[in-house]
Amino acid sequence: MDPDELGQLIDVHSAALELYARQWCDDAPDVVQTAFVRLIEQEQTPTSTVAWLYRVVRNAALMQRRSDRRRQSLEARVSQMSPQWFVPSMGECLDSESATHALQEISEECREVVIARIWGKLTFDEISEITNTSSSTAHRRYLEGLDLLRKKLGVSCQNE
Amino acid sequence: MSERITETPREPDEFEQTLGRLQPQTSGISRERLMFLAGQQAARRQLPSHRQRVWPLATAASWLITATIAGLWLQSQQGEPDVQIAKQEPAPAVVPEVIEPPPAATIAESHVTPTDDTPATPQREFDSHWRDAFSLGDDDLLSGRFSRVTAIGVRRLRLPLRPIASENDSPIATATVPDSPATYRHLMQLYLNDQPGFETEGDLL
Repeated sequence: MDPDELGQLIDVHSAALELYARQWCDDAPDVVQTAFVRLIEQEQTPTSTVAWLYRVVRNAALMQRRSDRRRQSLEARVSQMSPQWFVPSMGECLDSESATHALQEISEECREVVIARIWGKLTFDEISEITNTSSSTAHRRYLEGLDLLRKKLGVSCQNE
Repeated sequence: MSERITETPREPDEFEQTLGRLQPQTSGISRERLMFLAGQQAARRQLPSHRQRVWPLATAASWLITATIAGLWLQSQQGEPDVQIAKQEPAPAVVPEVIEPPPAATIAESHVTPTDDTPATPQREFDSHWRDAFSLGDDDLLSGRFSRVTAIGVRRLRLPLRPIASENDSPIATATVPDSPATYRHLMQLYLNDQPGFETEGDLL
C-alpha cells in the first residue's frame, strides 16, 4: 500500500475505527493499530479497504473481549474506563456524554450497525458482509437503533 | 430466507446529521509508526526476491554449522576414554654383589687382534711396511699385485676369538696367540699357494 494512501486512511477512519472497537474492548487503539499493520503487510490491497479494516477490527475486538470477560464484565469495565466515546462538543444539541451513554444502552447488534453506518460511512452491503448478516437485517437494525437513540436522547424528530 | 434490500441513496435526516457531527474520541494510534512500517514494507517489496532470502539462508547456514560442530564436540567428548597416567615404581629387588674380574688390560695390550676397526693411520703404515718388504714398485701397485698380497695376508692373519664359556668368565675376550709369527717367508708361501701355476722355486723364495 502506498504510504500516502495509508496516511489518508488513518486520518479519515482511525477515530471511527476506534469508536467501533471501543464498544467491545478497552484496547481499541491497539486493535486499530494492529489492523493497520496487517493492512500494510498485505501483498495486495483489499478491494474495499475500509470495509476490510472494519472486519479486521471487529474480529480482533471480539477476540479481545473474550479474554477480557474472564476478568470482569464488559459493562462494568466500559463504564469505569471509557466514559467518553466522543470529543466534548460545544454548542451542539447533543451532549457527547449523553450520546455515549445512549449508545452503550442500546443492544450490541443495533449499536454496531449505527456506528458503522453513521461514523464509518459504510453501506448496508458492506455492513452486512462484516456482520455476516443480510443487507435487510443490517438496515432493520439500523432503523431500530436510531429509534432507541431518539427515545433515550429525547429527540422528537422522526426518521424520514 | 434472506431478503436483499437495494440501497437507495437518501439524505440523512437531522438526527443522523447531528449524531454524525459528534467526533469520536481518539487516543493512542501512532501515526508515525504506521507510516514508518508502511515505508519499510514498500521498500522491502521493491527488493529482488533473492536478496530477501540472503539473510535467512545465512542464518540457517550458521545455525547448521553451529549444530554440527556442537554435535561433533559432544561425540568426541562421549567417545574419549578416561586416561589415567599412573607412574609405576620399580619393585625393590636384592642386588647381588658384583664380583669384579681381574684387570685384563695388560693381557689385552699384548694380544691386540687386527680387525677392520683398526684406525686408518696404522693401516696405512701397515701397507707401507708390506710394500717395502716385498720391494714392490709403482707398476706392481697398478697391476693389483700388491692388493692381492695384502688381502691374502690380512685374511690369513685375522685371528679367531675364543668363544666365551659362560657369563661368569671374563667379559674381555682373550686373543689366541698365533702358532708362528707372520714372517715374510710364510706370507709369500701363502700367497704363492693361492696363485695357480706360479713357480715355487724362484727368486722370491
